Amino acid sequence: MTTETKPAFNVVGTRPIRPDGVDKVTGRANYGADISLPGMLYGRILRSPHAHARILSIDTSKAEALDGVRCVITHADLPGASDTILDFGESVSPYKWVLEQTFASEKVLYQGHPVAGLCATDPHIAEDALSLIEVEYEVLPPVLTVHDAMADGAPILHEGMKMVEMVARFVPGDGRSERDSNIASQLELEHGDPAAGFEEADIILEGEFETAAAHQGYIEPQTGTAYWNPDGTLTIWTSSQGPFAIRDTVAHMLGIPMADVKVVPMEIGGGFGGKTKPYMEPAAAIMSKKTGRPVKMYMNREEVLVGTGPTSATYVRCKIGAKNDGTLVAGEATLAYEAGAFPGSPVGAGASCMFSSYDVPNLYVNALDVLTNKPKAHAYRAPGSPQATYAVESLLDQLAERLERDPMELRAQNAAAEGTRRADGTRMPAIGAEETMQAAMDSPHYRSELGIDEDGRLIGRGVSMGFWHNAGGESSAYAMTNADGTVNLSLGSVDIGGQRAGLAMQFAESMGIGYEQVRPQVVDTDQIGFTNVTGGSRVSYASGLAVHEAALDMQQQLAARAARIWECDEEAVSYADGVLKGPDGQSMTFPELCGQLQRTGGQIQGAADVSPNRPGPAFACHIVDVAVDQDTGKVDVLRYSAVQDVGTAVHPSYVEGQVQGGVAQGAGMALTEEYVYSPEGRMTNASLLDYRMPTSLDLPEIETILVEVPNPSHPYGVRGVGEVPIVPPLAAIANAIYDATGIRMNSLPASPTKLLDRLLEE
Amino acid sequence: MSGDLTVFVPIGMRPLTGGLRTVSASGATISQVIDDLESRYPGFHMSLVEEGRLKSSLTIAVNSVEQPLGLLARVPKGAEIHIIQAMAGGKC
Repeated sequence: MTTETKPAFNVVGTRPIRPDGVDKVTGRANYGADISLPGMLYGRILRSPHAHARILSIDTSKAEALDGVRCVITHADLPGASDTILDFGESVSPYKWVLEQTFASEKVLYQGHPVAGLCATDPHIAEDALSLIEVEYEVLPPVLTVHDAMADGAPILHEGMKMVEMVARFVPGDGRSERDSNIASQLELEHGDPAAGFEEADIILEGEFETAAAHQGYIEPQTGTAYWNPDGTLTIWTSSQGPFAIRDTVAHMLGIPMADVKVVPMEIGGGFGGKTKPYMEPAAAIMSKKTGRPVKMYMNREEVLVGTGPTSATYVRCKIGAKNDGTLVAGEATLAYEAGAFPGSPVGAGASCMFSSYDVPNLYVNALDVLTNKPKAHAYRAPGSPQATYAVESLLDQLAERLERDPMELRAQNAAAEGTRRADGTRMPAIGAEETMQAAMDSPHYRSELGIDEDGRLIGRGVSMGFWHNAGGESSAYAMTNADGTVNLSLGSVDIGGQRAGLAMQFAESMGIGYEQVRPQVVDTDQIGFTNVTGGSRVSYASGLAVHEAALDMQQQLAARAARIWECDEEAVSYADGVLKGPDGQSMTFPELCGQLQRTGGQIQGAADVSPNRPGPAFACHIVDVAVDQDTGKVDVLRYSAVQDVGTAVHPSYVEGQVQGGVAQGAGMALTEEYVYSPEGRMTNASLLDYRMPTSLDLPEIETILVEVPNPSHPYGVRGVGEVPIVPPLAAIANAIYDATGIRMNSLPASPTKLLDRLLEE
Repeated sequence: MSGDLTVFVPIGMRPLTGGLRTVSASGATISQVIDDLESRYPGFHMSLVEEGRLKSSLTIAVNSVEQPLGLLARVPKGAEIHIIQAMAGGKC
């Protein structure tokens, strides 16, 4: 349901059909794997079977000798390393680590770490040839948890790495470890006086919480096809959230100008943060250069699970202090997130988000980025926030119980508001945390009785808040008029969640024309200005501002043309609601003027390249009822309501879809999804049969309540919506399990095995 | 010299300020503010600036708004300035 307010706009807030819908539902849309080019070769990657091993030798001669194999490459074929930092939009990484992730040089650091690549005339030949590459390893002991990684005497992944590699601490020499460490970096946030805050507290609650690594679960595996043209230019076709990030990274790696690399964004079958960096594109490009032919690469599902980055497994120790009246006075936390084999977990975001739903005057958060022999963690929908929020929201649940308070009323009492300081000390802009909490308390779900389960299972209800910053950043949009009054709108933002429709709607709104007059298309990197990734919940906001600015640019040019026709000053022409008006009562609609553009100087283009920095933060409040089978430990979600401040729902159906998708993924992290490793560091559930994502049969219809507190820094009040709905489910479900069973699940997922053990213990 | 700006000093930089959590500063741009801080708390410049640019691992917020322009960002009178470590995976 949507809040019962009349849309203030003509197009924004309506629910038109998406322009890419027909192609997608009929199977005609072209995804990365659909590429087929004349003379194309098929590339494959040989991956390490070991989690931690030294490479003693690689012999590719037998593979190269196989009929049909055209090229075999290893780390030796990559260019040299440098200290450059590469920006993938949702993460950054030193170039040297990107090279090591492309192909290992001296050591393999996780099962699935690429060791060599090859291409052949046939995919089956390529597959067969992998087994002919002979690699001799010296197997080393792996570290598989943050606890093992930080223990004295732990095997070191990167010899020579002190405690600060990726993000240098501020003062050189200060706080540096004198010995090699698997702690890649540390971030400390503080505001107020935490010690004094806890001194002031009547109640102090503390707990330890753990979560497992979870994959983004996009249905389309990674693909990448490259053709190095004889003229030296390179074209890459890929399903990526960030075509420009791919372009810039590959250009840097291969030492060629960015202008010589064109990345063609294919339709994308999900990304959720996991498709913002190159995995196979550099190898495909190098092999294309060596062979002079296009090279297509793709992962199978096992490779996706072992070879790409899931979100971190985490450990959080958290403490809160409150007065007897429920007022929060202090918070403290230590976070240790698995980065995987290379630095760069989302622990920083977890640290900054975890307390942000509340006004806590004294905070200290210590965040550690910890290396383990697992795939490099990568962005996954609100990266880092769900895990840390789970800790805070679990303690708040305990606080409500201790004080015999309604859990939502306690939260609302402490809600963050405009001006509230976050853990990093910055103040909140205009936000809708209080409105979101109130809408949750007013919801039919929260006001309903829990009832009794007919099957005799234990039932319970849980709630949780969630916060995400949302993002701005660079976006470009170009709009071209046609003589019939239609507009072609070129976008740099890849369409994952309805961006074509949502941006065309904002453009139409700004132009005062109909949605059906605008034909949006996502174009390649040669045809549009730099546009950051489709991620960070940034597109509707930042690219929305780009299309708005492009519309304003177009209106200015239209006014000049109308002035030419009416022989008046340009300043005397106004544009509103799709109509131009002159100083002497002249009037002309947008289509009418478009019909006259060709005789007044030609069709026009409105363009904008923007980099806005005032995204409206997002808040969500979730309510969930669960049933727990005492005999099996299985948890069923009976009812789920997701309340969220969305700023303005540009296309409410797509917003509701984003919210429901986030809930489903968060429920998976809460209940079933986890990477399971053998003691040797091999993933034992690397298939979607064994890595258990929720299906539509596992979840009820997720009720959505859209709260609209406009972002004042956007003409239509848009806030990002895509990420925050994955934040609350972990804690909400854990709290519901506690309500049902009296068992506090401090380790997720609450799988049947784990929960049954706890039930039997009790 | 002190100014009308308030700079919130992150924990890692407090050795430079003798443990002070906030210090005053002056300047019309972030670059000028850092120069002012460097004059009184040596070490600020090398901690924040690399090859003439704000370190890629850092973000500056002026009145709680992150500044993509970095050193070039304008600073209004009376502003609060926060020095924030960039967040892996969370620059969004």
